[in-house]
Amino acid sequence: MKASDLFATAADLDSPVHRLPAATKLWVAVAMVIVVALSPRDWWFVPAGATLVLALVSGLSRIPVRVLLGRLLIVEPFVLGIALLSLFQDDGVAIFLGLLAKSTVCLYTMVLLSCTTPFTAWIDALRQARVPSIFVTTVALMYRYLYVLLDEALRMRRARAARSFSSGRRVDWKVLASVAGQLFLRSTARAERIYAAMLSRGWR
Amino acid sequence: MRTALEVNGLSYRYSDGTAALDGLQFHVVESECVGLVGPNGAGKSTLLLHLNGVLPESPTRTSALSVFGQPIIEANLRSIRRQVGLLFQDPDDQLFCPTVYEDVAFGPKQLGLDPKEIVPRCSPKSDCSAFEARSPSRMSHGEKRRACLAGVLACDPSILVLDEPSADLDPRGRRELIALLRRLRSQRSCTRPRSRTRGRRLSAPGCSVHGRRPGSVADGATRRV
Repeated sequence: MKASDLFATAADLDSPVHRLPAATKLWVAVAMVIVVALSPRDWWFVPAGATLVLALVSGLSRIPVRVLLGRLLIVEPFVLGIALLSLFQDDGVAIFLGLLAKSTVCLYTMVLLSCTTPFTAWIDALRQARVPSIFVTTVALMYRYLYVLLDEALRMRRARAARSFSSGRRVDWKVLASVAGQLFLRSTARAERIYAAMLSRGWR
Repeated sequence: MRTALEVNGLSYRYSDGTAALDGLQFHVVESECVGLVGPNGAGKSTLLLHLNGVLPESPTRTSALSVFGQPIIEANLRSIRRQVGLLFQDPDDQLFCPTVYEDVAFGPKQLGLDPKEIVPRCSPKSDCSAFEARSPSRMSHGEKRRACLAGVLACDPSILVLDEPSADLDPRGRRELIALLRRLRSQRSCTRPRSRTRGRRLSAPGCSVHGRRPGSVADGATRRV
């Protein structure tokens, strides 16, 4: 299994939403996130309206709901963690609900965007919008090597699994720690080689 | 014939103390094709990384190497890297752009050339025009190799340094690679040291061989070394 299969991409499907220009989608999504995030807490209709719009777009995109919600669930725990902290304030429950609703809407916007737009199209859109090239390059490199690193992690896991003969239920923390350390070492070494490759082709 | 590469007493020791190269001495003339063979860990890659100044990490004021008479020192690095095209051993180190097209276009862009003109000329050479729009993370090893080669050729180097270019290619891929190198060689004078772990394939376009024990070079005819 390759890491890229883990995220079997929904961005390769075809639908009216997929065909929209990437730049348009990107900026509409960013605008939506800003509006939802900054709207006062008692304007409950802003997140509600956004939810409606998102539901409509999701329907049009023909991406299975399971895929979209699955991806949302991956990031949701982080939001939940922060929202939980707000419970300790006065009027905590209202803040908690508002925070949770807003951030879920924002996250879902981004999930939907990533499912309907190939990543390379995002990069092009950012370049066209004159985002400083150092940021764009960093993001592009990060995206590229996320997969390489994940592949490396998967390979290491497989190698370990092939030689683990115990029941496999209990997590062996000692081994896990050394795997994490190895991964860190491997990625730094790789970073150096990539930089050398860039220099070799005239990077400055 | 001009001397393309001159190595005169090159030594290198990695920061962990491993001595990789020890007083190397050889030269390669223009349009000569050289194979570099040796067991794993002999220092082949280390030597090749020296040829465009990626190693040593901190450029010294004097250098044991020179490319077309230019010593490899800090001030000359840019022009030397323009002339020496280096194909890395691991394609994942070399393909750092989101798509193959962008990766092939990277070199020309750094040189201030128009990629729109260069890429269509270079991708067919190494047979990768078909997957220009794809992301390297979803390509096979052979495809990655060809994309890397296109990226190096796009910079139009006068010396081509290939580090194990045929490793993990299937027999057909290897034949195609050799045919491509032959073609390049007949088209123009292009000096090509390349590294191989297996000596037997060298009978193909190679002319002279540097057989190697760790850290040293022996120069001679293919059969003898």
